[in-house]
This record gives sequence, C-alpha cells and structure tokens, in this order.
Amino acid sequence: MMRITTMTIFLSVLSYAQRNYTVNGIVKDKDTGEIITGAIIKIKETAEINIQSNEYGFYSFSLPEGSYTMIISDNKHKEIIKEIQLYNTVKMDLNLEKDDKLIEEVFIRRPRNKSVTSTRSAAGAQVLDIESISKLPVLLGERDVVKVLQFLPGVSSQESSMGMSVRGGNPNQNLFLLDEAPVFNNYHLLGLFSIFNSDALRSVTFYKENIPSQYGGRLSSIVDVKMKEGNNQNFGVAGGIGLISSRITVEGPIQKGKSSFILSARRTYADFLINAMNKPQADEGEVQAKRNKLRLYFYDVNAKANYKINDKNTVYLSAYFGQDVLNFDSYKNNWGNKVGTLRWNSIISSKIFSNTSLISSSYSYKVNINNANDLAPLDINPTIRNWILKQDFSHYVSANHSLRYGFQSSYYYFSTPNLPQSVFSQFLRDPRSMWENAIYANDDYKITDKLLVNYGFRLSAVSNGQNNARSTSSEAPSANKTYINIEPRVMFNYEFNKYNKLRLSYNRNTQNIQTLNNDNNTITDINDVWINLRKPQLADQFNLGYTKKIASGYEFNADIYYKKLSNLVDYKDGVQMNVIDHVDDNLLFNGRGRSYGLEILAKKTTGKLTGWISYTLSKSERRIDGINNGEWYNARQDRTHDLSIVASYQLNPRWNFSGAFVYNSGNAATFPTGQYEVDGNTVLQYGKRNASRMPAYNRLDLNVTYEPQTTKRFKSSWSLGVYNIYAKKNPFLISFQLGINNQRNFRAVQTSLFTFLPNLSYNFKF
Amino acid sequence: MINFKTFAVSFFFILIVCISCDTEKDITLPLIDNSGTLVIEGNVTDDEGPYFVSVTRSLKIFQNEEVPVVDNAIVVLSDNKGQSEVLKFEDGVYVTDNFTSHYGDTYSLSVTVDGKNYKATSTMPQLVKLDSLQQIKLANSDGGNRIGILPVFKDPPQQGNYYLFKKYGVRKKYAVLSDNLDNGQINKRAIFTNEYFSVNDTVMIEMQSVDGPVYDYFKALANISDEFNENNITSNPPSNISNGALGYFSAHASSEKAIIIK
Repeated sequence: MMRITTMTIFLSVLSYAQRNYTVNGIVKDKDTGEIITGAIIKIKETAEINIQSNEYGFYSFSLPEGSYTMIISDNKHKEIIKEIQLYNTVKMDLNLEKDDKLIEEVFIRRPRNKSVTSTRSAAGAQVLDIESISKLPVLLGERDVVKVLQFLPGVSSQESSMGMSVRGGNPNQNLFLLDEAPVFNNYHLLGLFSIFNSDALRSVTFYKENIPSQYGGRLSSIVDVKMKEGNNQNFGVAGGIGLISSRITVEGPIQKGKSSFILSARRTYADFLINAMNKPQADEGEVQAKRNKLRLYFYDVNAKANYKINDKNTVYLSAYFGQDVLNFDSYKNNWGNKVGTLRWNSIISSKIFSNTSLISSSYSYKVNINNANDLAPLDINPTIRNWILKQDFSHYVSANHSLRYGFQSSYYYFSTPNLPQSVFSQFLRDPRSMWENAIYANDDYKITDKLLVNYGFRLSAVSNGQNNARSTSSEAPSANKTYINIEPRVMFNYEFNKYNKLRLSYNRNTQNIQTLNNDNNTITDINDVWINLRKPQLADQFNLGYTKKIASGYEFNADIYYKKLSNLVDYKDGVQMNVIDHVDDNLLFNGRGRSYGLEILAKKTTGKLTGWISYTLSKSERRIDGINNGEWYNARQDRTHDLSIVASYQLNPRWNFSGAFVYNSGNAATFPTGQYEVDGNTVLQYGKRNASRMPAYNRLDLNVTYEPQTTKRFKSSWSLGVYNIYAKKNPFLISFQLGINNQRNFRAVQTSLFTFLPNLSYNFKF
Repeated sequence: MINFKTFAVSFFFILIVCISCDTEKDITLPLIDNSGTLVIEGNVTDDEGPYFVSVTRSLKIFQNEEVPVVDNAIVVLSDNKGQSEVLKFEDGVYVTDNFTSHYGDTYSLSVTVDGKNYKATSTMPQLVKLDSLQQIKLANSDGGNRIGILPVFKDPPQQGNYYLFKKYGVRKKYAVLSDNLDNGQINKRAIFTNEYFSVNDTVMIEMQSVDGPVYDYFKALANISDEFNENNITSNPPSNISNGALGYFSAHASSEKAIIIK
C-alpha cells in the first residue's frame, strides 16, 4: 500500500514538468579534470535554484527562457560566475580553478584560510575533505579517513582499531563502499591502517542519520568512498615515506583532457626492522629462531581508469587489491580484499543522468586452525564473494523535484576453497549463497524555499540458497524463504534562515549478513567470518538535528536520535568462537536492541585556528533470550561519554600545528564477580554479561607539518608528530591472572598499547 | 631529497621507546561482587564408594583465603533403582556410607542449604577404557616442536559418547572429546596441544566417560580456566545443578594412564 502511494506521488511529480529549458553538465577541476562533488550552483536572479553537483559531478536545472547569472562555488575552488542566455537546452561543463594557488597572497592580506575537514551535505551526511586530513595528528603519521571519522560524534572506536561503532551499533553494521563496491574487511596491519589509501581518494561521505534509499544493507552507517579519476591534463607523481610504510601514486592522461588513469600503491615494512632488532640469541637454536621470525606486512594497490566515449558517455574501471600477512610462531592470519567496479555514466537527456555498475568484491582470509582430526594446524581459507549489478538514475524533474531511482541485484557466495578432506565442519564444507535484490526511489522535494523534504523507500528482498537449512536450532527460519522488507525513509530539512536549520528524519534499514566475532576488539578479531542470516535484521531510526551557523566561521550542530533494532544475533554464553564448531548451534536469534543519544559538534571553519569539538552522550542496549535472563543489558560498545577535540593552527603557509584530544568512558565489559574452587582449581565466577565497565580512556596527540617553499612543479612536506604525548597508559585489555602455582591470589592486569609514540613522515608531489 | 639518516634515527627511536615502555600494569577497578554463591561438586564413579559431595561458597575476587565450607547442608544421593542415602559431613565434605554405583544408572543429588533446595541428575555411561597414551609431535609449517598427547581408545558403535580428560598437575587441565565426528573409530585426535611439556615429565591423564551435560560443563570450564584465551564469552560454565548454584554433579566411569615425555 505504502509503495503504491509513493509511486503515485512520483508519477504526479513527472507530470509536473513545465516547458522550461535545462542547463546541465559536469563540474570538474580545471587543472586535473577531477570530478567535483557537491559544488554549489546558484542563480542570482532566482533563489529557487540552489543545487549541488552529484557524486559523479553532474548537475542539471531547468528555468524558463531568459538571461541568468550562474554562480558556482566550492570549498576548495575559486568561485566562478557565468552569464547564460537561456532559449534552448544548454550542455555546459564547468571547470573550476583551485583556490590554493592564491593562499600565499591572500594569507597576508586577510586570513581567509578555510580549512574544513568535514561539511554537512543537504542530506545530513558528513563529507570529509581528503586534503585537510593530511594535517591532523595520527598514529604513526599514517593519515587515514577512517581515523578521522572516529573523531566525529556518534562514532566510537577502540584504540588501534579500524572497527567503529556508529550510534551504538556493532562494527559489522557499517557498509564501506569503495567506488560503489562493498569492502568486507577494512583493516590492515592489526587494525592500524584502513584499506583506504588517502592518496587515491577523491571524497568520503559518511551517512549515519538519514541514509538515502540508494544505499542499503547495513543497520548503522554507510561510508561511501570514491577514488580519484586521475589527472587528465598532466602526469603527476605523489608519494610519502613514513616510518613503517611508503606509498606512491602515479596519475596522468590517457587522452589529454578526455581520459585518465591513476595507480596508487602502498607497502609496509615494519617487520624487516623488528626482525633486524630481534636478532636470534646464540643459545636459541635454529628452530627457535625460525619460529620467532615475524612476518607482518601488507601491500595494496588502487587503480582506476576512465574513458570518455563521447560527450554523453564515459566508462570507468576501478580496482583495489590488497593483502595482509601476519605470521608468527605457529600463528597465521592472512587476508585480503579484491574489489572491482566497471561503471558506465550516461547523460540520457539533459535531465536524466544514468549510472550503471557491475561490481565484484571478494574477501578471503587464511588462518590456521587446530582441527580435531589433524595433528598439525591446518590452513583454511574462508571466502566471501559478492557480485552486484546496479542501475541508478538521477532525474532532475523540475526546480522543485529531483529524483533518484534504480535497482540493485546482489549475489553472495560463501565458501571455503581447497578445504582439506579431514575437516568435517559442515559450516566450512557446505558453500552458502544468498540473493539480495532491491528497488528504490527517493525525491528531493523543495516544498518552499525553506522546507526541503527527501522522501523515498527501498524495497529489499533477500533469499537464501541451498545448504542453509542444516541448523538444528529451532529458532532458525527455514531456508529458501524470501524475506521482503519495505524500508521507508524521510527527512525534513527546514531552513529558518541562512544561519539556522532544523532536520527531522526517520529511516528503516535492513541487514542480511553479519560477521562472527565477539566484538571484543582484541587483536584476534581481525579475522571476520561473514555469514548470511536467515532473517534480515532491522533498524528503525529517528533523528532530530539542529544546525546554527555564526557568520564569523563558527558552526554548531546538535542531534538527538533513537534507534530500535530487531532480529539481532549473538553468541550463547560460554561458547568459544570457532569456525570448526557448529556455528549455528552457538547462536541466539531474535535479539532486540535500542540505542539513543545526544551528539554535539561545534566547529570553527575559518581563520588561522580551525577545528572542532565533538561530544556524544549515549546509551546502547541489547535484549535476547538466553543472555542475562532476557533482561536489557549494555551492548559491548555502549559508552556514556565520548569527547574529541581536534584543532589545527596554520601559523603561516609553511608551518602548521595540530592537536587532538580524546576522552571517552570505557566500553561495557564482563569482568569476574568472584572466585570459587572446583575440582581443586580456583576458577573465576562471572555474573551478567557486560555488567561492568572498562576504565575511561584519554590521550593527546600533537603534530607539526612543515611545507618548504614550493615551486609550481614540486611540492613536499615534512610531518612530525607524537601520539599520546603525556604517555597515558590507557586500557586496551584487562585480564585477571592467577598467582603462580594455582595460588589464590588474583591480579587485575591492564595491557596498554601505545604510550608516547613519535612519528616522522615525508610527503612529496610533482 | 630525503634525509635517510634522520629517517633511520627516528625509526629506531620509536622502536626503543616502544620496547622500553612497559605495557602491563596491575590496576584496581570497581567490580561487581557475587561472592557467597553456593558451589556444589558431586561425583559418583564406577569405583567402590564412598562418593563425595562438597558444598562451599564463592569468595570475592581479591580475597586471598580458603573457600568457606558449608557444614549445615542436607545432602541426599539417590538412583533410579530405589537406592537413597543422606550423606554424612566428615572432614569438610559430605560422604556416602554404603551407596553403590552401576553403569547405565541415573543418579540424583539433592542439596538443601538454609531452606533452599538444589537438584541435579547425571547418568553413568558404560566404561570406555583408555588403552594407552602416545606422545605426538605437532609438526607445523614453521618447524615448531610442540607436543600433544594422543589418548588411544576405541569409541563404541552407538552415537552419543562423551569423554573428559583430566591432566593432573599443580593446576588440573581439562580436555573434552565427543564422537560427533568419528563415531565408532579408534581415536586419532590429540589433546592438550597448547600445553608445554618438558622432557622427562610424567604426565598423568584420567579419562572419564561422562554424560552430555557434564561434557558441556567441562568444555566451558576448560575455556574459562585458560586465562589467555580471549575468544571466549565470559560466563559461568552451564551447570547441571538447579537454582543458580555453581559447580556440577557427575556420574562417570573412569580409567587412568601415565606417560613419560621423551
């Protein structure tokens, strides 16, 4: 019923169209040919037109015949003004010139130095600026978009972990898209790096409150990462040398001004140096020396090329390939993602922009297990493969309506290739498959100049293939059943005036796959095992947000949210997480969750000193039969307070100082509640799950960046920083250890990861 | 262009800082206190009696003293053949007088403390004998020299046999096996593969044929006892005793072997 009503509205929208003329085109950077997303286009004569270029740089608007003044602006580019005589459809690509060439001159006269790390899009998403990220202090000098996301309100993470909890959700409830392809594991190197190489990235958009209906499949958030297209004017090389990694990027035109490529690669080498430091002891013997040799590295490659067939059609091919290796003693854990997207952008008419994508993503990891039937640990290689066909239309119907509609068809295949015959685990032996299909539509409807509503739906259907019904658990729904969900989404954006805005949104999202890990956030967690669920998990979220801007460059945001989750799955009490086990029998189904909170983000966006303060007050709880007597309990990632302060001070064009301070309450944890004796052994007694709490966490990081006088051709920078400058020993892990010889003498031992860790890196570009 | 000297110096600076910083320390933190919970441990074996039931209470986590023994409990052991006996409290444990055990019988334990009653049942399986122990070298790809113990025994043809292995030492260690994967076969699975053994160690291992709930209890207990295993959900092992008591009640058949590590 809901769907029919929505369709009727869309149809009436289509018949609205008057006899107007359309202006459309692509917004690009003049020097590099890079697409510009989110450039603001306004018409001086009418306030009605105030639009942004979409993620492919396309814009389109319609006006009656006449002459107009078009103003095109963007954060990082100089504003341009174009006079247009409109008596016919106009196709006009807009080339914007970079602002930074002028910084030096401008700087002395007036400190207009805009440094915005994140901005909020009309849809309520956070858009990260890749360039300004480079000056923030980061662990080991490795700038990383995921680490910057972790400074934003509503996002909490464990130290050194790329896993993040958004608004009390589980880490596996975030969808990371790299050029539209889902990435199933975004970790590198024990979680110190994300797989996203900043040098190869154009934009990162983060959705956590209003997730537009073209996205789906996760309950908490969407991180939409777009790779650079490559410079289609000149060849360029950029790179960096850091203490534990180096990277290089090459880009250039294939056909000047028409098509381009970019190739970016990274490699870490921490293990060479660690091994060199740990020279085998004389008395250790050969075997021991071999055993203690650590292999710990990753490499990854991003590649992208585009080819402009004609004015209206462009094809893009993007690929990512990465591999992590971690071998120590008998422990082995290697993993990697392979991701590829073939995309075809087509301007069907002046008002309709089409994006067709064929996507392949696979994630496999190799880990050694102690199989019961084998004396030596065996290597197994669980793999998830995903193929997607996606068709998306942006339809600029009129000045008041712009539509997004399309479909997505997705096939998943979970298997363990080359499984040794001796492994009997049915979970590993039987491949599983799943179809996930969706159609969606949403409309940006400008009701008045002040009120914008984005409403739409996503209709998703999920069906599991064969071999999914072997569970003995009565809770598990039968296989081959198709679950259909309507996911309505609506957001109202009311602009009182230029400085005050109110947002109200409701979202439903579903999720059909999840990882099997215990969210313990310990190092062993990096090997996620993805499983398909028999019943989609649901999240309903309400959000109320308010933005206040102050002319002098201050911005204040406050959001309150309430999220309701259902059909959650969790591990039973007392079971060990092991793929060799009967995985299904170790799970509990039909769990519920709720999370709510207040998020505050105060920013200063202009001047020598820029930065933000982000504060979150929140609660996240779960309820599931079989845990804590079916009562509500804290989710592991429940954190009451979470504060980040990030500041950057541009002393002059050469020197930049930045700092970040983080304070947060500890996560919920299950600590022992007593001790007792059984069979002569002293054993820890446990109470309710997640009833205790880790100690609070805080640290301060500082960084200084020096950019020597640049020539037009060659740019370079030195970056020196210290992580956790006051050497606070923060809790990473707390374990309860028994005294020697089984003596009843417990100690609570806290393990910390990084205290006072300096870094130095050198970056260049020519 | 790049000052490699600076680079190298600072990298080693990092490593030195990292190595010298000590990353572990003892802390105090607020903990929930569930001490005083009743702990019941009862065993009926295929040996001749007496059989023992201990009733104790749990302590606070940092309390460094002997566990309190409950001496005023009414402990009753009975079976499905009509045998029933009230146990006597002697030397800190409750003891049977002339209770007898038989393979295949089901035993019930009832413990009443301060008006609250705790119950458990357990069935004694047929005896599966431990024939011998073998020392197995766990040759892994990295040339390690770990050792595991292979308990040699033949699983009976019917499905549903559970085995508990206890390794005696300062602290008892547990391992469990079931016949879900290799029913009716001679066992080929090594146990205690994560333990460190030294040459000339005498390793004493008791094998018990237990029922399903006892197997589940010790499987979980083995995980909890292993303090460095972070992959566990931390909770008490699933007890077969009612009313929230910790511990277990096990009727089992047992055999024992020893091996000297070479």
